[in-house]
Amino acid sequence: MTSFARNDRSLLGRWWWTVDRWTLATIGLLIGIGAMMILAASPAVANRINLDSFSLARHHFVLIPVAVALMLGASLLSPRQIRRLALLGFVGSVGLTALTLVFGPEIKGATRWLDIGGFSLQPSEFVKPCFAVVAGWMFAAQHGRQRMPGNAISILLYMLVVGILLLQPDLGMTVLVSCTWFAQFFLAGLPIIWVLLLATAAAVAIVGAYFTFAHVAERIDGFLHPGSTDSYQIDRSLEAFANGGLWGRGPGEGTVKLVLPDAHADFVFAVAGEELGIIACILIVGLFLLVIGRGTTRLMQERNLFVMLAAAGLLVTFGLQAFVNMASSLHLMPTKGMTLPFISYGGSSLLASALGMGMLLALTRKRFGPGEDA
Amino acid sequence: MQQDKELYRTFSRRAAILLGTQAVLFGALGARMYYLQVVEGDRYSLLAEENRINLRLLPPPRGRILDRFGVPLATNDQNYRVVVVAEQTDDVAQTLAALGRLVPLDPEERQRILKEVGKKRAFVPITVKENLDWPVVASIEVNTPDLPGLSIESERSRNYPFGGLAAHVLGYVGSVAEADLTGDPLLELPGFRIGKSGAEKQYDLALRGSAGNSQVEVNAVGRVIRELARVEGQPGADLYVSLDMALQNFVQQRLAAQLSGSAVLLDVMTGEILAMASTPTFDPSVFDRGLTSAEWQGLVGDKLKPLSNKALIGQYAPGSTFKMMVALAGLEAGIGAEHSVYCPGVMALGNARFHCWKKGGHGTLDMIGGLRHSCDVYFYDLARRVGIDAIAAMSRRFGFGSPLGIDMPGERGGVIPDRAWKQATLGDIWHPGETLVAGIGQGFIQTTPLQLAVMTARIANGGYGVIPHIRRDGEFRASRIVGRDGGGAGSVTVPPYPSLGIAPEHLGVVIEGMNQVSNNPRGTAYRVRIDTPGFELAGKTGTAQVRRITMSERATGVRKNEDLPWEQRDHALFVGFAPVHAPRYAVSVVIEHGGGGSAVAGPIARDVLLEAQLRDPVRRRPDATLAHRDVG
Repeated sequence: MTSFARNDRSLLGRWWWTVDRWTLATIGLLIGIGAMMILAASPAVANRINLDSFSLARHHFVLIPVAVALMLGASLLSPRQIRRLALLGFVGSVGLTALTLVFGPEIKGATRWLDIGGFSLQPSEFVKPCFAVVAGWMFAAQHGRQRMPGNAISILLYMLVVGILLLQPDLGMTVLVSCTWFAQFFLAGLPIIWVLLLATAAAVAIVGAYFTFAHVAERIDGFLHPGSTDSYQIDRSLEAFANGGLWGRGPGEGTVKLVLPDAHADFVFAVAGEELGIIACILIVGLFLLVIGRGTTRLMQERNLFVMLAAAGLLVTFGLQAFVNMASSLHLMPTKGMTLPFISYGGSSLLASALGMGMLLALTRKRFGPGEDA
Repeated sequence: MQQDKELYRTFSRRAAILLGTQAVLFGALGARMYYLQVVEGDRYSLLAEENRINLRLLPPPRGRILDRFGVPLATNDQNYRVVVVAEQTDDVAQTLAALGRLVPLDPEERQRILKEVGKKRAFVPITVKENLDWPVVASIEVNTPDLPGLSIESERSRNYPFGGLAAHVLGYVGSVAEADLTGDPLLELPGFRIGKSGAEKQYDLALRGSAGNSQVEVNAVGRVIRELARVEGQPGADLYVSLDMALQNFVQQRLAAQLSGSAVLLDVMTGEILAMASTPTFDPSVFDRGLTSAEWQGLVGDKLKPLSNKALIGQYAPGSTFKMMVALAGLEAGIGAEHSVYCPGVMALGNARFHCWKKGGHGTLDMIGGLRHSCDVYFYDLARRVGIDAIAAMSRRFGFGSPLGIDMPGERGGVIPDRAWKQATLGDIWHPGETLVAGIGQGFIQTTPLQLAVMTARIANGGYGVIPHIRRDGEFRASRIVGRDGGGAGSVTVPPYPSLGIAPEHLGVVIEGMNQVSNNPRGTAYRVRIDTPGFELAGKTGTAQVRRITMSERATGVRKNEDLPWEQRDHALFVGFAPVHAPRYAVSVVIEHGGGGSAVAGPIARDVLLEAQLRDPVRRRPDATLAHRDVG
């Protein structure tokens, strides 16, 4: 890997010397941990739903090289190409998400998936990174030379996305996209008065959701009053962490995966807690934080507003999603169907995370000079 | 450009805020994990342990019951069965075919097993064949490599090698009833057995032992992964009973010809029960496997009451066997043995007439003569002179009127009436005629065969309050040897029990009376004497009426027992001891509705006493350790 000379001017040579190798290594580690957790957790789940023990693991392992290729490919692109890719991806994924409202099979009370050639795809996963980049572009364009009405376009796009997501309904994704978009707006210099107003509006929206969507009310009630509703999943999850202790029971030795329906996806962190122990879990948390911290500090030295806002959006999406997943497992917030990037089972999640991180790596590459401008 | 610079500064500041926020959030994750692990860890780990670690009880093997010489009377049989675990074999049918070459298996059996395999979870053992004998077990074990999925399991069952021969003493074991539950988890084990009657019940706790346990790790579906720790339980202790099984066998078989009755043989010195039989009997083994409802109804509904130990719970009027008590009460009241009564065959008291069993009367008799002939009129007279309260007090000293405290469950106390008793239970005053009836052991008096045997033993051992027991004495208690008054060559051995305070010369009169019953040609039991020198018995017959003989019947002639329906015939009783000059064995025999005491109960008692002396179990050392301790 390190056989590129400093003065190598080839595409790969330039990439190797400019890409953030720390982030790259961290993501590689996360993918590795994810592969291990899928091997540990998914056979139990597969057996329970009468599939071949390793069918889920096999499915995930086929997608890992695809995801790595997607990430590396994206990281080779220039910011301008990233912008185009994101726009393309945004249009495509929002379009497909809208299609799920018409064609999608209903699973667990929501229509989020599309069947494409034997794979079930969750297009809204791809909306997250693409919208982060597109929104960053629009916010940056507000301050660009053309004096585009970037903020207004961004608000319109945001309302479109949120509207579609709420129709599914997918409240978790809505909250995630909203937080990301809001963080970007905040970074783009939104006046403090607007920050406060929007924060208030968000609080009102959440209270509104509580009274509008039955399943939201149920989740929140279950969180606020444990025991009042069926807290089976979260109880098992907490037990798993306690069982794991400092060093865990060893990979594959856990029992929580035998009883938790979503052990390989939403509750994969609980499986990790039981099998790898608290120290390894804190290490995983540290890896996510490393990606965010590393990316953010690099952005502070960045001079290109689009790059700054787009990359910040990608980082917030990535970090917040990881946080929500882990916090749900630890009963720090109501359970929300959200995957742990790179670690949870799920092809759409894996590919979308890879796409997002690929774009992040591309944007955070060292560039010399003022770089390209819009 | 100025605006851009401002923008970048804002961005950097706000990015730092955002980074800080995310760092705090992720820090909260770490703190939460620390809290779960360290602060709440103990509580959760306990919960988790309960889920994961399964504590299984290991039932202890039940102690055996052995007779005084160590002959096993109750043992645990190994019941071997072969089971198949479906997940350990690729093809159950093929495994069964291989097994079929060692043990014959019907096609229907094979069908049943395959059906069960289909229904149950793959790791649950399914019984293929039960009650295998040892050669088959060995051949299966040897061929294990060719029999994948098969294994041998063993289970204990309670076995009584002598069947019904000592059933009432040993009792039986059965499954635990709701009322038996004490909170001991052992009792809740499926298939656990506890003592339900007899020695099995009395000594249940000692025989039961204490449970061991095995900590096994199980997975979420309850399957055992491995054993973590094992604590072996304490096996139940063996129980040595005082029975001599050979004698017990003899007594039980000797009774077998009778419809219903019981016999008790005990050591007059130690109180050890050497034989205790009740007929009809039952097979205690069947309770272990569990009775069908019909079998149970058959045992309980039988009017001959096979499940009852009649020696302990049968209560009968003692009849003439009670006359020793009346004689001793008279002697103690100052009426000498020379006191004579003329028997004309009937005694009048007020308007009532009290008949002697001998229609023509016995003529004039002294006390020994009264016992020898069992003359009713003599004892009417004696009873009238001493009064009921003195008779009752004397009989209580000999063990009547309350349970003796034998170490067996269910013992009854019988009834010894006196004035206070009648006032308290019937609310009526005592009539003088009732004293006369009590004088010949009839009326309200109720005694158990065990009490009769103990009374006989207490007379024979020189007036010591021996207590009967079924557990063999741990070591031979050497009898105290007491020098004769004023020294001299002779000395007597006395039992290790408190004296009843009966004057020896009074006992001498009664013993001589009992001696003449069986050894004087005119005695009522002369025909059941033992004429082997040194083995002679002394005894007393008894016939307990169960019906009232009316005046009109007496006028037309009292009906013979043979002419009466079984339920109305007299009970036949006999008490006795031997050898008459150095008493060691006391016996009581009660045959329900058997007729006359000398004709039915006497021969049985005679045979038992002779057999006891021939075997002489009390003078044989049970085993080396006991003999050794005895020397010291």
